Amino acid sequence: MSLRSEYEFGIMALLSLMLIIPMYFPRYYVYIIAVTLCYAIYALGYNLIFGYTGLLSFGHALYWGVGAYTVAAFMRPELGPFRIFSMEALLVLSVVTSALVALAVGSICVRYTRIFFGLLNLGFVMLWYSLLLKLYYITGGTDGLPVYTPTLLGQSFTAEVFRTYTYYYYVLAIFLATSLMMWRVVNSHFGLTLKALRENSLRAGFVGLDISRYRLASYVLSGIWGGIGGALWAPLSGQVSPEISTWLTSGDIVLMTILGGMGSFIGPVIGAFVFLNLKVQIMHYTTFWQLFLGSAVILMVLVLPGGICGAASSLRLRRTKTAS
Amino acid sequence: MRKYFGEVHAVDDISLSVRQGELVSIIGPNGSGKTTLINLISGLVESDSGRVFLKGEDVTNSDPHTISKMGLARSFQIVNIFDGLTALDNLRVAHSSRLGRSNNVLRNLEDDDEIKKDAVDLLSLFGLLERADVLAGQLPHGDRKLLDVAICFALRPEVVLLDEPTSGVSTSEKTRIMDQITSAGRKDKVTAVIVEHDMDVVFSYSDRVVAMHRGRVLAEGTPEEIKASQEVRSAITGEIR
Amino acid sequence: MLSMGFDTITFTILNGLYYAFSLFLISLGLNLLYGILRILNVAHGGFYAAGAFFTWYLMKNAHDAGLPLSVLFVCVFVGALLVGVLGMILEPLLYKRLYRKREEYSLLATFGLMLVLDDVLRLVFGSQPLSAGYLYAGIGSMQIFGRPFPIYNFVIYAFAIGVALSLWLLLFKTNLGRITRATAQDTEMSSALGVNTSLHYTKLFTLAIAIAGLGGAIYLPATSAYPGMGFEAIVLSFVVMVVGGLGSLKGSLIGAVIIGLVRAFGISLFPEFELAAVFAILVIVLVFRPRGLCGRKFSREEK
Repeated sequence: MSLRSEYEFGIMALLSLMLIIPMYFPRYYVYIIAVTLCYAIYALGYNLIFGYTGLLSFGHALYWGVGAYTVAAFMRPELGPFRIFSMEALLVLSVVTSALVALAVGSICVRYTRIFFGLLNLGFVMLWYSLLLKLYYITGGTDGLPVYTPTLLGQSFTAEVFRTYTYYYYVLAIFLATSLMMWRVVNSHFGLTLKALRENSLRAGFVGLDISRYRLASYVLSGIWGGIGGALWAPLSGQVSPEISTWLTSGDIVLMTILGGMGSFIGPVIGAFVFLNLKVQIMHYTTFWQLFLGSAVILMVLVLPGGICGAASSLRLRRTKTAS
Repeated sequence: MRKYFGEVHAVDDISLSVRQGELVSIIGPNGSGKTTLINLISGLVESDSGRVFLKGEDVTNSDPHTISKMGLARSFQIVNIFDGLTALDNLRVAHSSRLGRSNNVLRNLEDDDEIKKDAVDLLSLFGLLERADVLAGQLPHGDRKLLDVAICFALRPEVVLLDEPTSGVSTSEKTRIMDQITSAGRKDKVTAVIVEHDMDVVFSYSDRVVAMHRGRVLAEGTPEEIKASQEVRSAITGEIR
Repeated sequence: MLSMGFDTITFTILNGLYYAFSLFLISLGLNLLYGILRILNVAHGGFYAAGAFFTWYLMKNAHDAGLPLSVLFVCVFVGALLVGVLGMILEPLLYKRLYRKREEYSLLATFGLMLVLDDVLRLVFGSQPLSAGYLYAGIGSMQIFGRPFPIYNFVIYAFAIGVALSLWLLLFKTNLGRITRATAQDTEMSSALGVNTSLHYTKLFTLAIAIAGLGGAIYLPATSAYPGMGFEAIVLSFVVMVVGGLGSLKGSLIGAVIIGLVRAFGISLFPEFELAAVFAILVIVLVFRPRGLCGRKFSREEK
């Protein structure tokens, strides 16, 4: 078991190493990878509640939105001298806001399971969405809010340099840090507890575990990760709008996680990379990306429930079997 | 206690007291309400009337985790374990919970030698050591049953409720389970209430036997008394050998 | 609220019902599928949309060929039928393999199908809204409290009630219905009794899909078919399902009427928050009465 975990972490390290190379890649691609890293953080967080704890939420984009809007909100010109441009401060604020929202929403949601859990989360993200649309004097309504270039560790950069060079490394660093933290979490006693909850919540209760409490903890952590992802993404996008947090965009993160394989740690990261890059590639040729990705999901559920990672590991298993 | 499912009186006015360290077997034909009784005691099913007391405290309709923390562990008639986890991890979850480490996010689980040792020891006791790394869902039925019971003991409970712990299990495995229960009873004064169909097991190990029929207690007494009872015999025809 | 005139209230109610019945027709099929097959079919919105698009195509061509209004009316049924055929094709291909899976997996697969359906419709019919209002205009409008009200809306009301009654008759008065209800309770027993459950499920599925298609078809003359309509429809139908009770057919009607009226009155009274109000209801119902108005109680094990 630990050999496999080492293998997985090795892949992650390799991946990150590869990512340093994009100095040599076209600027647009660096931008895309940076965006993907944000989604990867988001996906890692989502996998905690979905893959490890076994709860399917169709409203996780709520936290992405909370994180992104927190950043945009504190940059608003209306705040005058109270505007915050420090990315570090903005990240901390996003963690706080997403944690609070996750605590509030989660404490209601974790008392229910399966379809109800999924629908409740859907309800909350759509509530958030409709409030974003309607409270336009705060949130900018359908147009949303602009996001200005923040400072990184106190340094300012021109928008161009920021987007295509410096910020990329910043995001990469945070990605690595949050991944390491998540790695610790899933390999701890807590991680095992979550897996037990996923496998058999009834028995977990009879083993002395307070089901709701652990689910809430998992939910809040996954919300925080989502908020970090959204917050990091906001300066890249330059604009936040209500469309980023609907049940449909929540569906995107579910697709990413399934695509990559929800039973594993890096599955969601791979899923995020594949999903986004595939989408970009597909969009070069046709606007009908839903067709392809939707079909991919159907295929996954029917044929490869383990996703890309699941397929890879079973392939490896088969090869070792024939070898012996 | 009473539990009615519509017109069916699954448990109809049953009162039961168990002393510390006793091993009580509950027998009866299928449908006599044995599992419902266990479910009532452990809080899985809400009672229509009556109360459950554990060590003097009222635990009626408690949450599973509350009653678990108070020292009660139960196994299930249809094996109810963590199929996607290895046999080792199945026990580690329980040990982790017992030691209060379930919410620990900082330590690597693999570095916890105490839990690993406890789990490994228990696996050997139940003869499952060789299959420690096998996913529970892929184990043969007998092993899964053993694991179900082992999880109970991983909690170092004061009371165990075992619902047909030896059904579908080989004779040597039966002995293993029953020996574990009786030795725990002797050493740690663990109280055991067992639903059983295997009369050999019942008569060899029980301190007391309770015979149920149609949701009511038919007879109660020592194994000898029950064995000799005509009433019980006719109610459970074919089951007494 | 109290400052609304009687005529405004009447119109709001009529509009609410108009809207409610579209949700009713979608959630009817949704509840059938969930209650009996345990599948939450996200793609149901796609079948609704398909009904609208197919009917548009038929009506447009019928109109251009100079055919009379009565033929146009028949187009509605043909459109629904075509959707039923689509369902019949997809059932063995995809849905049959989902029956045994966990609810979450089938939810994901149907979500994938929804994406596919939306794009396929976009591919075939384009990205612009399409309307074929000839029937709607042809039937004309009447005066209610001095204001014009389209007569076609009454056709819709009649239709929805007709579907509800027919389904009720089907389920409670026919053999097919009895078997269906029995199959819902116990698959093993039913097949032991010689019921061909597989064929049964196909029939049931096709029926549920056809009803959704009918929903889209009947509304097409009054509005238009546009890309993304399936997504909008399905989310609100989920709310209806929850309010009415998952799996409850009676609940679909009651839930749909409630949501329809909330939306209609919401648009009149507090237009900023009508959407938020609907989702607030979803959350409130899920929290305080998850089984909805007509659903069954859960045991501790199901939590």
